[in-house]
Amino acid sequence: MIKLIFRQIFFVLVSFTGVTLISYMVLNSADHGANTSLSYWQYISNIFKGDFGTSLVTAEPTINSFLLHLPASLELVLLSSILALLVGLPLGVIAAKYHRTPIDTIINNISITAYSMPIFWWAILLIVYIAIEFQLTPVAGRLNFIYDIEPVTGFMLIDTFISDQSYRMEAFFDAINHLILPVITLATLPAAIICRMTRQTMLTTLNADYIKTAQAKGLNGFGIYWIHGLRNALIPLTNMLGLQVSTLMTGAILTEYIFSWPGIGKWLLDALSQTDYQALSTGILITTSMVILINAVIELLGFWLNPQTKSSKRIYHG
Amino acid sequence: MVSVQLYSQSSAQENSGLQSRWAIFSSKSSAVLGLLILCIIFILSLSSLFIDSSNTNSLSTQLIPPSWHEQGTSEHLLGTDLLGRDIFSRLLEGAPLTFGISLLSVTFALLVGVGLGLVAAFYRKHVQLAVMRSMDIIFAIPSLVLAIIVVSILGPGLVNAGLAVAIVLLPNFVRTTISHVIEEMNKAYVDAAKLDGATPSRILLKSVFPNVAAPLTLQTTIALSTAIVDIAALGFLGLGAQAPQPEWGAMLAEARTSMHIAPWVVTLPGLAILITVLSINFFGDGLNRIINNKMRH
Amino acid sequence: MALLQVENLCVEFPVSGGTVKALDNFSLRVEAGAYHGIFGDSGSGKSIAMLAIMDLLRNSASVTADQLSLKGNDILTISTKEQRQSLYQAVSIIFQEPENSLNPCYRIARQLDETLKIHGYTSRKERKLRRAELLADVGLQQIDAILDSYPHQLTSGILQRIMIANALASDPMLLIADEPTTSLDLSEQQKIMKLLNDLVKSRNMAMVLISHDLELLKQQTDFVTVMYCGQVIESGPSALIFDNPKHPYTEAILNSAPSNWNLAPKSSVPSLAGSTPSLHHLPVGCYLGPRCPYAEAKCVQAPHAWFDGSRLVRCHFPIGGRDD
Repeated sequence: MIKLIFRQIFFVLVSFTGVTLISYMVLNSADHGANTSLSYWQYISNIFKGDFGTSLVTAEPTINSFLLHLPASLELVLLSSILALLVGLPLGVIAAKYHRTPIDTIINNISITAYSMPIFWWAILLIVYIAIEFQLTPVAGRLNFIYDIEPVTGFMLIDTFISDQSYRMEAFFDAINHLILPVITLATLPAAIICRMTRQTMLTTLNADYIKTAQAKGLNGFGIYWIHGLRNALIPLTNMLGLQVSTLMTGAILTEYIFSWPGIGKWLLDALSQTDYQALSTGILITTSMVILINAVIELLGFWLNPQTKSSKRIYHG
Repeated sequence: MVSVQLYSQSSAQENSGLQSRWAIFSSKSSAVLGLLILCIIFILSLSSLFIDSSNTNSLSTQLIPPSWHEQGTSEHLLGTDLLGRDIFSRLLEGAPLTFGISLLSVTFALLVGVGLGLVAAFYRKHVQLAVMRSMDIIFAIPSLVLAIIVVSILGPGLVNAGLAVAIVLLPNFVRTTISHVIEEMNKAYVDAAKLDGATPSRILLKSVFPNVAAPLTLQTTIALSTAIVDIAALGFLGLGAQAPQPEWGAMLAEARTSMHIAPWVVTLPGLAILITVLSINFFGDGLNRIINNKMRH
Repeated sequence: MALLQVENLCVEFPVSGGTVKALDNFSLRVEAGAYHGIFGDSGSGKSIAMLAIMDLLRNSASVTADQLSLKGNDILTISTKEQRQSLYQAVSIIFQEPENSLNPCYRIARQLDETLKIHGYTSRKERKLRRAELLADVGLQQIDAILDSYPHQLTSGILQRIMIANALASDPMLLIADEPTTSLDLSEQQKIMKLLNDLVKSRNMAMVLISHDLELLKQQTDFVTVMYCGQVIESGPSALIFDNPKHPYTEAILNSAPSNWNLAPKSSVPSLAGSTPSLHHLPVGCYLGPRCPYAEAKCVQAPHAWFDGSRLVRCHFPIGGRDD
């Protein structure tokens, strides 16, 4: 396991290097004679000092601007991931358990439709029919601007809750209200994929002999599906789920764009339209690095969950 | 003693390849439906390239609802948009843009990806490592971020979007090719040793390739559905097709301004994308079943 | 009353385009302490029959029978936890590949504990003692190291012994062993088989052994059942059937066993042409028909299995004629 960790760290560092090359390329593609006559090495050493360049558009250090917008995205992505797992995993297990029955067919068809939906269209549909038609939720934004909440953590749910304003609870529920559509939008695709992957891995896992052994012990459904089935299915599942981080980020950018959510996705798109190459290269560098890091951690998690990769040495000899 | 004459059955009951494949494929009607719709879209895309439809802006025909609505007319089957353009003909015009560019993008990624994969599989060691590592990095970059990178360097546009999507799809093809070719090569070497004399490259091409074809086919269908959604997304953001091009994603972007009073303008292009993607997915599902079935026997 | 009573057990699996009959009117009667063997090709239905008896096919196939009962309790209508536990207390099964029979994610200790907990060993101390006892019974040493290991860290011989220990944990009256030694090393095969026989004898358990090894079945079993394409084609006392097979298939199989090779020149050994048909494309009438050297016109009618006084045989023209 230790060996695997070191291998992973090495790969992550190599990937980071590759990404810095790309973001450097982006920085220098400004063909408007920008004053970036930085060499690659200067660029790298600046980054190590924490200097990611200053935006020509806002005259602010790009890293500050990025960090300002990060919590909004984190809040959105975290809540969506949780929702996707809470919906996708159980549905997948149920679909596997009721394989070849109408329940399985229904869940299967719903999940295929869900992951075939273009996310930007799904968002618009939700807005048109829920926010506009039935006026159940707001159309865009994070919080109604009549509430003045001090940004302490950057997470709106926390900030409204700990705020010392008299309307803090109103603001809290308003924040939730603003989160509903974006979170549903972003969570739909991952939920569908998690559901399908769980179903697939469970079906394979449930065919194994050790499941029969477990059944022949007299274990009930919970024991078989969760303790024996899902625990083993988690191994290939974790690896497959790692691939979803990238998808989640793409979805987050689109969701933020449509809902005018002030996160790094929208920030990145704004930088592009303003040809703010400093901001762009910083954004690309950090978001990609984050994805690479998270992927690496999830892959390690997969190794840890599998006793065959976690501890390969034999305890018993002879 | 009466021999086997009485019994006409035997191993000749295995159907001919194509027949049995069709039987498996068509066992689920959704796969056949998917194939049908795909053919229709393909034909429509091709024909709309040659048909010149004049679709001019007209204030007099602004925002007419679809024909089944009480205020709709049969002249505009699916209604008109804010600028008075007929939606149905715009969708048709947009088909070669959304669908066509996606096809080209996937083809490009397939050819380059398989090529790179073969090179890496044959040259092993350092070349292979370099190729796989760079593919891993590309794979790690979220597709939209990669598109932003390409667009920031090359500028926006439908073709550039197609290129960006091709790069996004590249790693999958490369990896699939490498892993399956290596797997086959390990087997083929054993046979090649027995056949000593026959040129190894010929054996590899004749026995390796058919076995790689199956997973590649699957990969291609997945890539196609990804490409369509990504290209439409880029069109939607204004990074790909630019308005007033009738690319379906760009149509959606334009439609947003009138979505609160004319929901059909915003619903129909998205529906077109959904139907196309669903068809590909169901079709791919059918292919998957054929491959699984053939692998088991 | 027999310990295990199976009559006309049928198992059908859904496949694309219909169903496949994996088991067709399987019948078996096992008395307490008896030693039964089951022999058959792959696809003959022998494993399916055992899975059906253990009620492990409920969710994946349609299982019907005129009778399927253990100790007089019907298996097909099991619905409560108590009934299920009563079944699994009385009968245990071990499978062919021990590496796949244990959950790769949990240590041996935990998996044995799980079994013991269900079968009434409520205190930790009791379980610890019983675990050590069981593992010693199956001839294992360095028990602590084994208990602490994951399955992938142990050899298949050890794993199979653990499976046997697991099976004995509930003190069952019937043990089903589905090719328990087939995937083990040769050296282990004999040892494990001896272990099984000793244990079964000393505890006066009934045994159903599925095996490819004709010599083994001939030596060990009191009764044997031969299966083909999901049907029982011959069944009865082992001595009778091995010395004097009545079904052409049984005869051909016995003749092809190395120990039976007749070295006399030009000895016309009736052998079977062709290969076993797939369950998806079964012949009309007797399933062996197309390959049978004794086939006649009547064989396009499916033969019933009938009792000829000494054994059950499914053939219109049993070798040597009928005994009754």
